[in-house]
Amino acid sequence: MKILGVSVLTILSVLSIALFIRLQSDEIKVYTVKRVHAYQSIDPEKSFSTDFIINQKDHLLTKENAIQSLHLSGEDETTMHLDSIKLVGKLHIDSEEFYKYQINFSLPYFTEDIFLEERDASLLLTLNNSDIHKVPLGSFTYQTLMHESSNLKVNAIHNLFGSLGGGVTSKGLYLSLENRYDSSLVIDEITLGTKDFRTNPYLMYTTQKAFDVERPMDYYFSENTEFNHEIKAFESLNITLPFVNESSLDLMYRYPIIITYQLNGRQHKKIIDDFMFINTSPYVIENLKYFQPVGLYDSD
Amino acid sequence: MLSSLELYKRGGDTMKKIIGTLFILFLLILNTHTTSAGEYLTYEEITFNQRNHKLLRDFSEFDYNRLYNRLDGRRFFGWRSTAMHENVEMSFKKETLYVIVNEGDSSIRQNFSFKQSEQASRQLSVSGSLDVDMSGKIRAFDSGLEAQISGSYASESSTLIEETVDIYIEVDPYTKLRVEIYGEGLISNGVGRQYRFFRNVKEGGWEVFTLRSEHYSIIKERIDEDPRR
Repeated sequence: MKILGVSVLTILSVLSIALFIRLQSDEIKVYTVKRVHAYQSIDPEKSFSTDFIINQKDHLLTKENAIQSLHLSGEDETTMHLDSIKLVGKLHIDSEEFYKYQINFSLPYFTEDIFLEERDASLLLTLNNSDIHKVPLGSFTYQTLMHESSNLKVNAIHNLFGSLGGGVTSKGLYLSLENRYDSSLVIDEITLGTKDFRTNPYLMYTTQKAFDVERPMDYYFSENTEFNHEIKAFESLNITLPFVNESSLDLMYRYPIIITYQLNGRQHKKIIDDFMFINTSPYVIENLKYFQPVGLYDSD
Repeated sequence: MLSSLELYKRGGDTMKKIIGTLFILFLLILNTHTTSAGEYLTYEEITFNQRNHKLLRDFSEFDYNRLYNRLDGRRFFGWRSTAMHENVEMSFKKETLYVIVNEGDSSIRQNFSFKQSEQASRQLSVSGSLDVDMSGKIRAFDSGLEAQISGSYASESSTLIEETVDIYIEVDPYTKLRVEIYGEGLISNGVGRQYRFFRNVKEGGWEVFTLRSEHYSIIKERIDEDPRR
Protein backbone atom coordinates (compact mmCIF):
# COMPACT_ATOMS: atom_id res chain seq x y z
CA MET A 1 0.00 0.00 0.00
CA LYS A 2 2.87 2.29 0.98
CA ILE A 3 4.66 1.50 -2.28
CA LEU A 4 1.52 2.34 -4.24
CA GLY A 5 1.23 5.70 -2.46
CA VAL A 6 4.88 6.56 -3.19
CA SER A 7 4.44 5.54 -6.84
CA VAL A 8 1.32 7.70 -7.26
CA LEU A 9 3.09 10.64 -5.63
CA THR A 10 6.12 10.19 -7.91
CA ILE A 11 3.95 10.01 -11.03
CA LEU A 12 2.02 13.11 -9.94
CA SER A 13 5.28 14.99 -9.28
CA VAL A 14 6.68 14.03 -12.70
CA LEU A 15 3.45 15.08 -14.38
CA SER A 16 3.45 18.43 -12.53
CA ILE A 17 7.04 19.11 -13.55
CA ALA A 18 6.27 18.17 -17.17
CA LEU A 19 3.23 20.45 -17.14
CA PHE A 20 5.29 23.27 -15.62
CA ILE A 21 7.98 22.87 -18.27
CA ARG A 22 5.33 22.76 -20.97
CA LEU A 23 3.71 25.95 -19.64
CA GLN A 24 7.12 27.59 -19.44
CA SER A 25 7.93 26.68 -23.03
CA ASP A 26 4.58 28.11 -24.15
CA GLU A 27 5.40 31.50 -22.68
CA ILE A 28 5.54 34.07 -25.45
CA LYS A 29 8.67 36.19 -25.34
CA VAL A 30 8.96 39.20 -27.65
CA TYR A 31 11.79 41.72 -27.49
CA THR A 32 13.08 44.64 -29.45
CA VAL A 33 16.13 46.88 -29.03
CA LYS A 34 15.59 50.63 -28.79
CA ARG A 35 17.85 52.74 -30.95
CA VAL A 36 18.15 55.96 -32.93
CA HIS A 37 16.05 56.03 -36.12
CA ALA A 38 17.11 59.11 -38.12
CA TYR A 39 15.85 59.56 -41.67
CA GLN A 40 16.20 62.27 -44.31
CA SER A 41 14.94 61.70 -47.81
CA ILE A 42 12.98 63.36 -50.57
CA ASP A 43 11.90 60.04 -51.99
CA PRO A 44 8.07 59.93 -51.83
CA GLU A 45 8.28 56.17 -51.34
CA LYS A 46 10.64 56.38 -48.40
CA SER A 47 10.17 53.46 -46.05
CA PHE A 48 11.33 52.82 -42.50
CA SER A 49 11.99 49.65 -40.61
CA THR A 50 12.48 48.18 -37.21
CA ASP A 51 12.62 44.64 -35.88
CA PHE A 52 11.69 42.37 -33.02
CA ILE A 53 12.50 38.84 -31.95
CA ILE A 54 9.91 36.32 -30.83
CA ASN A 55 10.14 32.73 -29.59
CA GLN A 56 7.04 31.63 -31.55
CA LYS A 57 6.78 31.68 -35.31
CA ASP A 58 3.01 31.58 -35.64
CA HIS A 59 2.09 34.47 -33.33
CA LEU A 60 -0.39 37.01 -34.74
CA LEU A 61 2.29 39.73 -34.47
CA THR A 62 4.19 38.01 -37.26
CA LYS A 63 1.27 37.99 -39.70
CA GLU A 64 0.64 41.05 -41.86
CA ASN A 65 -3.00 40.17 -42.47
CA ALA A 66 -3.67 40.00 -38.71
CA ILE A 67 -2.74 43.65 -38.31
CA GLN A 68 -5.48 46.19 -38.78
CA SER A 69 -3.54 49.44 -38.35
CA LEU A 70 -0.17 50.87 -37.42
CA HIS A 71 0.67 54.09 -35.58
CA LEU A 72 3.86 55.84 -34.63
CA SER A 73 3.29 56.91 -31.07
CA GLY A 74 5.12 59.39 -28.86
CA GLU A 75 4.02 62.85 -27.87
CA ASP A 76 1.80 62.71 -30.94
CA GLU A 77 0.32 59.81 -32.83
CA THR A 78 0.92 59.44 -36.57
CA THR A 79 -0.82 56.90 -38.78
CA MET A 80 1.63 54.76 -40.70
CA HIS A 81 1.20 52.30 -43.52
CA LEU A 82 2.34 48.74 -42.85
CA ASP A 83 4.37 47.65 -45.89
CA SER A 84 5.42 44.22 -44.67
CA ILE A 85 6.47 41.99 -41.80
CA LYS A 86 9.25 39.63 -42.83
CA LEU A 87 11.05 36.79 -41.17
CA VAL A 88 14.71 37.77 -41.51
CA GLY A 89 16.64 35.49 -39.22
CA LYS A 90 16.91 33.00 -36.46
CA LEU A 91 19.05 33.28 -33.36
CA HIS A 92 19.72 31.73 -29.99
CA ILE A 93 19.78 33.59 -26.71
CA ASP A 94 20.70 31.47 -23.68
CA SER A 95 20.02 28.38 -25.80
CA GLU A 96 16.46 29.53 -26.52
CA GLU A 97 15.49 29.85 -30.15
CA PHE A 98 14.10 33.17 -31.38
CA TYR A 99 12.91 34.34 -34.78
CA LYS A 100 13.79 37.80 -36.00
CA TYR A 101 11.12 39.77 -37.83
CA GLN A 102 11.46 43.07 -39.65
CA ILE A 103 8.54 45.53 -39.76
CA ASN A 104 8.65 47.78 -42.81
CA PHE A 105 6.40 50.82 -42.76
CA SER A 106 5.94 54.16 -44.47
CA LEU A 107 4.02 57.42 -44.22
CA PRO A 108 0.76 57.19 -46.17
CA TYR A 109 1.40 60.67 -47.63
CA PHE A 110 4.34 62.79 -48.81
CA THR A 111 4.89 66.53 -48.77
CA GLU A 112 8.02 68.58 -49.24
CA ASP A 113 8.15 69.86 -45.69
CA ILE A 114 7.82 66.89 -43.39
CA PHE A 115 9.45 67.09 -39.99
CA LEU A 116 8.49 64.27 -37.70
CA GLU A 117 10.30 63.93 -34.40
CA GLU A 118 9.56 61.67 -31.45
CA ARG A 119 12.25 61.32 -28.79
CA ASP A 120 10.59 58.27 -27.20
CA ALA A 121 8.69 56.58 -30.01
CA SER A 122 6.84 53.30 -30.24
CA LEU A 123 5.01 51.48 -32.98
CA LEU A 124 1.47 50.53 -32.03
CA LEU A 125 0.18 47.53 -33.94
CA THR A 126 -3.57 47.07 -33.68
CA LEU A 127 -4.58 43.52 -34.44
CA ASN A 128 -7.87 42.42 -35.97
CA ASN A 129 -8.88 41.10 -32.54
CA SER A 130 -8.46 44.68 -31.18
CA ASP A 131 -5.35 43.85 -29.16
CA ILE A 132 -2.76 46.61 -29.44
CA HIS A 133 0.91 45.64 -29.22
CA LYS A 134 3.54 48.24 -28.43
CA VAL A 135 6.97 47.93 -30.07
CA PRO A 136 9.36 50.45 -28.47
CA LEU A 137 11.51 52.11 -31.17
CA GLY A 138 13.77 54.57 -29.39
CA SER A 139 13.86 57.91 -31.15
CA PHE A 140 12.36 58.53 -34.58
CA THR A 141 13.14 61.54 -36.77
CA TYR A 142 12.15 61.99 -40.39
CA GLN A 143 12.66 65.14 -42.44
CA THR A 144 12.48 66.02 -46.11
CA LEU A 145 15.06 68.75 -46.67
CA MET A 146 15.39 69.54 -50.39
CA HIS A 147 18.82 69.09 -51.95
CA GLU A 148 20.33 72.28 -53.35
CA SER A 149 23.02 72.50 -55.95
CA SER A 150 26.35 72.82 -54.18
CA ASN A 151 30.01 73.07 -55.04
CA LEU A 152 30.93 71.75 -51.64
CA LYS A 153 31.78 68.19 -52.57
CA VAL A 154 31.92 65.24 -50.22
CA ASN A 155 34.61 62.90 -51.49
CA ALA A 156 34.64 60.32 -48.71
CA ILE A 157 32.48 59.27 -45.78
CA HIS A 158 33.68 56.64 -43.36
CA ASN A 159 31.66 55.72 -40.33
CA LEU A 160 33.77 55.31 -37.19
CA PHE A 161 32.46 52.65 -34.89
CA GLY A 162 32.89 51.26 -31.43
CA SER A 163 30.94 50.54 -28.28
CA LEU A 164 29.19 52.80 -25.79
CA GLY A 165 28.98 50.03 -23.24
CA GLY A 166 26.99 47.62 -25.40
CA GLY A 167 27.28 46.32 -28.95
CA VAL A 168 28.74 48.13 -31.93
CA THR A 169 27.41 51.58 -32.79
CA SER A 170 28.40 54.66 -34.78
CA LYS A 171 30.79 56.76 -32.74
CA GLY A 172 32.10 59.20 -35.25
CA LEU A 173 32.54 60.20 -38.82
CA TYR A 174 35.43 60.83 -41.16
CA LEU A 175 34.62 63.28 -43.95
CA SER A 176 36.68 64.42 -46.90
CA LEU A 177 35.29 67.75 -48.16
CA GLU A 178 36.34 69.75 -51.20
CA ASN A 179 35.46 73.39 -51.92
CA ARG A 180 35.01 73.84 -55.68
CA TYR A 181 33.74 77.42 -55.33
CA ASP A 182 36.11 80.21 -56.35
CA SER A 183 35.83 81.73 -52.88
CA SER A 184 36.31 80.49 -49.32
CA LEU A 185 33.50 78.89 -47.38
CA VAL A 186 33.09 78.37 -43.66
CA ILE A 187 31.41 75.33 -42.14
CA ASP A 188 28.99 76.33 -39.40
CA GLU A 189 27.88 72.93 -38.20
CA ILE A 190 27.50 69.28 -39.14
CA THR A 191 24.40 67.56 -37.76
CA LEU A 192 23.10 64.01 -37.97
CA GLY A 193 19.34 64.46 -38.27
CA THR A 194 18.79 63.49 -34.62
CA LYS A 195 19.13 65.12 -31.20
CA ASP A 196 20.50 61.91 -29.68
CA PHE A 197 23.92 62.14 -31.27
CA ARG A 198 25.76 65.28 -32.29
CA THR A 199 29.20 66.12 -33.54
CA ASN A 200 31.46 67.71 -30.97
CA PRO A 201 32.83 71.13 -31.95
CA TYR A 202 35.61 70.80 -29.40
CA LEU A 203 36.89 67.46 -30.57
CA MET A 204 36.89 67.97 -34.30
CA TYR A 205 40.22 67.01 -35.69
CA THR A 206 41.58 67.74 -39.12
CA THR A 207 43.58 64.93 -40.56
CA GLN A 208 45.21 63.79 -43.74
CA LYS A 209 44.58 60.17 -42.86
CA ALA A 210 42.06 58.29 -44.91
CA PHE A 211 40.70 55.24 -43.13
CA ASP A 212 43.04 54.21 -40.41
CA VAL A 213 41.16 55.90 -37.57
CA GLU A 214 38.61 53.25 -36.70
CA ARG A 215 38.74 53.24 -32.96
CA PRO A 216 37.41 56.17 -30.94
CA MET A 217 40.38 56.10 -28.59
CA ASP A 218 42.52 57.17 -31.54
CA TYR A 219 40.89 60.58 -31.65
CA TYR A 220 43.06 63.55 -31.05
CA PHE A 221 41.74 66.35 -28.91
CA SER A 222 41.61 69.57 -30.84
CA GLU A 223 42.50 72.87 -29.27
CA ASN A 224 39.63 74.47 -31.17
CA THR A 225 37.13 76.20 -28.97
CA GLU A 226 34.48 76.69 -31.56
CA PHE A 227 33.36 74.92 -34.68
CA ASN A 228 34.49 77.24 -37.43
CA HIS A 229 36.28 75.63 -40.26
CA GLU A 230 37.21 77.55 -43.32
CA ILE A 231 37.92 75.79 -46.58
CA LYS A 232 39.71 78.03 -49.05
CA ALA A 233 38.74 78.09 -52.73
CA PHE A 234 39.56 74.81 -54.53
CA GLU A 235 41.01 73.29 -51.36
CA SER A 236 40.03 70.20 -49.39
CA LEU A 237 39.48 69.47 -45.72
CA ASN A 238 39.59 66.03 -44.14
CA ILE A 239 37.93 65.93 -40.76
CA THR A 240 37.29 63.36 -38.07
CA LEU A 241 34.15 64.06 -36.05
CA PRO A 242 33.66 62.07 -32.85
CA PHE A 243 30.02 61.95 -31.80
CA VAL A 244 28.63 63.02 -28.46
CA ASN A 245 25.77 60.89 -27.17
CA GLU A 246 23.07 63.16 -25.77
CA SER A 247 20.56 60.53 -24.65
CA SER A 248 20.17 57.08 -23.14
CA LEU A 249 20.01 55.57 -26.63
CA ASP A 250 23.42 54.09 -27.34
CA LEU A 251 22.82 52.47 -30.70
CA MET A 252 22.74 54.26 -34.05
CA TYR A 253 23.30 52.45 -37.34
CA ARG A 254 21.96 54.81 -40.00
CA TYR A 255 21.68 58.57 -40.15
CA PRO A 256 21.83 61.50 -42.57
CA ILE A 257 24.55 64.15 -42.60
CA ILE A 258 23.60 67.82 -42.89
CA ILE A 259 26.45 70.26 -43.41
CA THR A 260 25.59 73.94 -42.92
CA TYR A 261 28.09 76.41 -44.39
CA GLN A 262 28.49 80.11 -45.14
CA LEU A 263 29.44 81.28 -48.61
CA ASN A 264 29.59 84.97 -49.57
CA GLY A 265 27.47 85.92 -46.56
CA ARG A 266 24.71 83.38 -47.27
CA GLN A 267 23.96 80.15 -45.48
CA HIS A 268 23.74 76.92 -47.50
CA LYS A 269 23.10 73.28 -46.69
CA LYS A 270 24.75 70.20 -48.13
CA ILE A 271 22.55 67.19 -47.46
CA ILE A 272 23.45 63.54 -47.53
CA ASP A 273 20.40 61.31 -47.14
CA ASP A 274 20.28 58.76 -44.37
CA PHE A 275 22.61 55.89 -45.11
CA MET A 276 22.97 52.55 -43.41
CA PHE A 277 26.57 52.88 -42.25
CA ILE A 278 26.44 49.77 -40.07
CA ASN A 279 24.76 46.50 -40.93
CA THR A 280 24.55 44.46 -37.77
CA SER A 281 22.11 42.64 -35.55
CA PRO A 282 21.36 44.42 -32.26
CA TYR A 283 20.28 41.11 -30.72
CA VAL A 284 23.66 40.16 -29.30
CA ILE A 285 24.69 39.38 -25.75
CA GLU A 286 26.45 42.73 -25.40
CA ASN A 287 23.11 44.48 -25.95
CA LEU A 288 21.06 42.42 -23.46
CA LYS A 289 20.64 45.45 -21.21
CA TYR A 290 18.95 47.29 -24.09
CA PHE A 291 16.37 44.54 -24.75
CA GLN A 292 12.83 45.87 -24.36
CA PRO A 293 9.78 43.64 -24.03
CA VAL A 294 7.12 44.04 -26.69
CA GLY A 295 3.77 43.77 -24.98
CA LEU A 296 0.12 44.61 -24.96
CA TYR A 297 -0.52 48.34 -24.94
CA ASP A 298 -2.95 49.69 -22.44
CA SER A 299 -4.20 53.01 -23.80
CA ASP A 300 -5.76 53.87 -20.42
CA MET B 1 69.53 2.63 -83.83
CA LEU B 2 69.72 5.11 -80.99
CA SER B 3 73.03 6.55 -80.08
CA SER B 4 74.19 6.29 -76.47
CA LEU B 5 73.82 10.10 -76.23
CA GLU B 6 70.13 9.92 -77.30
CA LEU B 7 69.52 7.04 -74.85
CA TYR B 8 71.13 9.14 -72.13
CA LYS B 9 68.89 12.11 -73.07
CA ARG B 10 65.73 9.95 -73.13
CA GLY B 11 66.70 8.42 -69.84
CA GLY B 12 67.20 11.93 -68.48
CA ASP B 13 63.72 13.00 -69.67
CA THR B 14 62.12 9.93 -68.06
CA MET B 15 63.99 10.62 -64.87
CA LYS B 16 62.76 14.25 -64.93
CA LYS B 17 59.17 13.04 -65.35
CA ILE B 18 59.55 10.59 -62.47
CA ILE B 19 61.11 13.25 -60.25
CA GLY B 20 58.36 15.74 -61.28
CA THR B 21 55.61 13.22 -60.48
CA LEU B 22 57.23 12.32 -57.16
CA PHE B 23 57.55 16.02 -56.32
CA ILE B 24 53.83 16.61 -57.02
CA LEU B 25 52.93 13.51 -54.98
CA PHE B 26 55.19 14.76 -52.20
CA LEU B 27 53.44 18.16 -52.26
CA LEU B 28 50.03 16.46 -52.19
CA ILE B 29 51.07 14.33 -49.21
CA LEU B 30 52.48 17.38 -47.44
CA ASN B 31 49.32 19.38 -48.03
CA THR B 32 46.97 17.17 -46.05
CA HIS B 33 45.36 20.14 -44.31
CA THR B 34 43.58 21.64 -47.31
CA THR B 35 40.90 23.98 -46.02
CA SER B 36 37.27 23.76 -47.07
CA ALA B 37 36.43 27.42 -46.90
CA GLY B 38 33.61 29.62 -45.72
CA GLU B 39 32.93 32.75 -47.77
CA TYR B 40 34.84 34.91 -45.27
CA LEU B 41 38.10 33.47 -46.56
CA THR B 42 37.50 35.24 -49.87
CA TYR B 43 37.52 38.69 -48.21
CA GLU B 44 40.12 41.07 -49.62
CA GLU B 45 41.85 41.62 -46.28
CA ILE B 46 41.56 39.99 -42.88
CA THR B 47 43.35 41.54 -39.92
CA PHE B 48 43.49 40.31 -36.35
CA ASN B 49 43.70 42.75 -33.46
CA GLN B 50 46.55 40.70 -32.03
CA ARG B 51 49.46 39.66 -34.17
CA ASN B 52 49.73 36.12 -32.81
CA HIS B 53 46.18 35.22 -33.86
CA LYS B 54 45.76 33.30 -37.09
CA LEU B 55 43.26 31.64 -39.38
CA LEU B 56 42.95 27.90 -39.78
CA ARG B 57 44.35 28.15 -43.30
CA ASP B 58 47.54 29.60 -41.80
CA PHE B 59 48.02 26.81 -39.24
CA SER B 60 51.46 25.25 -39.64
CA GLU B 61 52.31 21.59 -39.27
CA PHE B 62 53.76 22.55 -35.88
CA ASP B 63 50.40 24.15 -34.85
CA TYR B 64 48.48 21.01 -35.81
CA ASN B 65 50.90 18.73 -33.94
CA ARG B 66 50.86 20.94 -30.85
CA LEU B 67 47.03 20.96 -30.83
CA TYR B 68 46.69 17.21 -31.48
CA ASN B 69 49.05 16.58 -28.56
CA ARG B 70 46.64 18.50 -26.34
CA LEU B 71 43.82 16.06 -27.09
CA ASP B 72 43.34 13.51 -24.34
CA GLY B 73 43.44 9.78 -25.07
CA ARG B 74 41.27 7.88 -27.46
CA ARG B 75 37.54 7.56 -26.97
CA PHE B 76 35.41 4.53 -27.53
CA PHE B 77 33.02 6.55 -29.61
CA GLY B 78 32.79 10.29 -30.26
CA TRP B 79 34.91 13.40 -30.58
CA ARG B 80 37.84 15.04 -28.89
CA SER B 81 38.50 18.67 -29.68
CA THR B 82 40.65 21.57 -28.57
CA ALA B 83 40.72 25.25 -29.51
CA MET B 84 43.59 27.44 -30.65
CA HIS B 85 41.51 30.65 -30.49
CA GLU B 86 38.15 31.31 -28.87
CA ASN B 87 36.19 34.29 -30.21
CA VAL B 88 39.18 36.45 -31.06
CA GLU B 89 38.38 39.75 -32.74
CA MET B 90 39.20 40.35 -36.37
CA SER B 91 38.38 43.02 -38.92
CA PHE B 92 38.12 42.76 -42.65
CA LYS B 93 37.71 44.58 -45.94
CA LYS B 94 35.16 42.65 -47.91
CA GLU B 95 34.46 44.08 -51.32
CA THR B 96 33.31 47.06 -53.32
CA LEU B 97 29.56 46.87 -53.23
CA TYR B 98 28.38 49.51 -55.61
CA VAL B 99 29.98 51.69 -58.29
CA ILE B 100 28.51 54.61 -60.25
CA VAL B 101 30.74 56.03 -62.96
CA ASN B 102 29.93 59.45 -64.40
CA GLU B 103 31.96 60.11 -67.55
CA GLY B 104 29.65 62.86 -68.71
CA ASP B 105 29.95 66.65 -68.49
CA SER B 106 27.19 67.15 -65.96
CA SER B 107 26.44 65.77 -62.54
CA ILE B 108 24.30 62.70 -62.08
CA ARG B 109 21.74 62.98 -59.33
CA GLN B 110 20.23 59.64 -58.74
CA ASN B 111 18.68 57.38 -56.21
CA PHE B 112 20.53 54.19 -55.83
CA SER B 113 19.50 51.30 -53.74
CA PHE B 114 20.88 47.95 -52.84
CA LYS B 115 19.55 45.21 -50.71
CA GLN B 116 21.76 43.08 -48.57
CA SER B 117 21.28 39.55 -49.69
CA GLU B 118 20.87 36.75 -47.25
CA GLN B 119 24.16 35.90 -45.64
CA ALA B 120 25.41 33.55 -43.07
CA SER B 121 26.47 35.38 -39.96
CA ARG B 122 28.11 32.15 -38.84
CA GLN B 123 30.43 30.55 -41.36
CA LEU B 124 32.47 27.40 -41.05
CA SER B 125 35.69 26.04 -42.47
CA VAL B 126 37.32 22.69 -41.98
CA SER B 127 40.55 21.00 -42.95
CA GLY B 128 41.80 17.43 -43.08
CA SER B 129 39.09 14.79 -43.11
CA LEU B 130 36.52 16.85 -41.19
CA ASP B 131 33.48 17.98 -43.10
CA VAL B 132 30.65 20.45 -42.92
CA ASP B 133 27.00 19.54 -43.35
CA MET B 134 26.06 21.58 -46.41
CA SER B 135 22.39 20.61 -46.42
CA GLY B 136 20.00 23.43 -45.75
CA LYS B 137 20.80 27.09 -45.28
CA ILE B 138 22.49 26.63 -41.95
CA ARG B 139 25.79 24.87 -42.26
CA ALA B 140 26.94 22.83 -39.33
CA PHE B 141 29.78 20.62 -38.23
CA ASP B 142 29.12 17.01 -37.38
CA SER B 143 26.78 17.10 -34.37
CA GLY B 144 29.35 15.46 -32.09
CA LEU B 145 32.01 18.02 -32.94
CA GLU B 146 29.42 20.81 -32.69
CA ALA B 147 28.66 19.72 -29.12
CA GLN B 148 32.37 19.63 -28.27
CA ILE B 149 33.16 23.11 -29.51
CA SER B 150 29.87 24.92 -28.91
CA GLY B 151 31.40 26.81 -26.00
CA SER B 152 34.08 28.23 -28.25
CA TYR B 153 31.93 30.51 -30.36
CA ALA B 154 29.18 32.99 -29.73
CA SER B 155 25.61 31.89 -30.24
CA GLU B 156 24.47 34.14 -33.03
CA SER B 157 21.85 34.57 -35.68
CA SER B 158 22.09 32.19 -38.55
CA THR B 159 20.93 34.43 -41.33
CA LEU B 160 20.51 38.12 -41.91
CA ILE B 161 18.47 40.01 -44.43
CA GLU B 162 18.85 43.61 -43.59
CA GLU B 163 17.46 46.89 -44.74
CA THR B 164 17.30 48.16 -48.25
CA VAL B 165 19.62 51.11 -48.59
CA ASP B 166 18.24 53.99 -50.58
CA ILE B 167 20.27 57.12 -50.99
CA TYR B 168 19.85 60.16 -53.17
CA ILE B 169 23.34 61.09 -54.21
CA GLU B 170 25.14 63.39 -56.61
CA VAL B 171 28.00 62.08 -58.70
CA ASP B 172 30.07 64.83 -60.31
CA PRO B 173 31.38 64.75 -63.89
CA TYR B 174 34.39 62.50 -64.40
CA THR B 175 33.86 60.94 -61.03
CA LYS B 176 33.47 57.41 -59.82
CA LEU B 177 31.49 56.70 -56.67
CA ARG B 178 31.92 53.45 -54.87
CA VAL B 179 30.52 51.91 -51.72
CA GLU B 180 32.97 49.71 -49.85
CA ILE B 181 32.28 47.17 -47.14
CA TYR B 182 34.43 46.83 -44.07
CA GLY B 183 33.53 44.76 -41.06
CA GLU B 184 34.42 42.94 -37.92
CA GLY B 185 33.86 39.49 -36.60
CA LEU B 186 35.03 36.78 -34.26
CA ILE B 187 37.14 33.74 -35.04
CA SER B 188 37.29 30.48 -33.12
CA ASN B 189 39.38 27.61 -34.39
CA GLY B 190 41.11 24.44 -33.36
CA VAL B 191 41.39 20.76 -34.18
CA GLY B 192 39.23 17.72 -33.57
CA ARG B 193 39.37 13.94 -33.86
CA GLN B 194 36.54 11.47 -34.21
CA TYR B 195 36.80 7.96 -32.76
CA ARG B 196 34.82 4.81 -33.46
CA PHE B 197 35.62 1.75 -31.36
CA PHE B 198 38.80 3.56 -30.21
CA ARG B 199 39.85 4.03 -33.85
CA ASN B 200 40.62 7.53 -35.06
CA VAL B 201 38.39 7.80 -38.14
CA LYS B 202 38.54 11.54 -38.81
CA GLU B 203 40.83 14.38 -37.87
CA GLY B 204 41.47 17.93 -38.91
CA GLY B 205 40.99 21.58 -38.17
CA TRP B 206 37.75 23.47 -37.64
CA GLU B 207 37.01 27.19 -37.70
CA VAL B 208 33.95 29.30 -36.93
CA PHE B 209 33.63 32.86 -38.20
CA THR B 210 30.90 34.96 -36.56
CA LEU B 211 30.05 38.17 -38.37
CA ARG B 212 29.47 41.01 -35.91
CA SER B 213 28.95 44.00 -38.16
CA GLU B 214 29.54 45.39 -41.62
CA HIS B 215 30.38 49.03 -42.26
CA TYR B 216 29.76 50.88 -45.48
CA SER B 217 31.95 53.70 -46.69
CA ILE B 218 31.20 56.07 -49.57
CA ILE B 219 34.18 57.16 -51.61
CA LYS B 220 34.31 59.39 -54.67
CA GLU B 221 37.33 59.76 -56.89
CA ARG B 222 38.16 61.46 -60.16
CA ILE B 223 38.42 59.02 -63.06
CA ASP B 224 39.94 61.36 -65.60
CA GLU B 225 41.50 64.78 -65.66
CA ASP B 226 39.03 67.18 -67.19
CA PRO B 227 41.05 69.81 -69.07
CA ARG B 228 38.13 72.27 -68.93
CA ARG B 229 38.35 72.54 -65.14
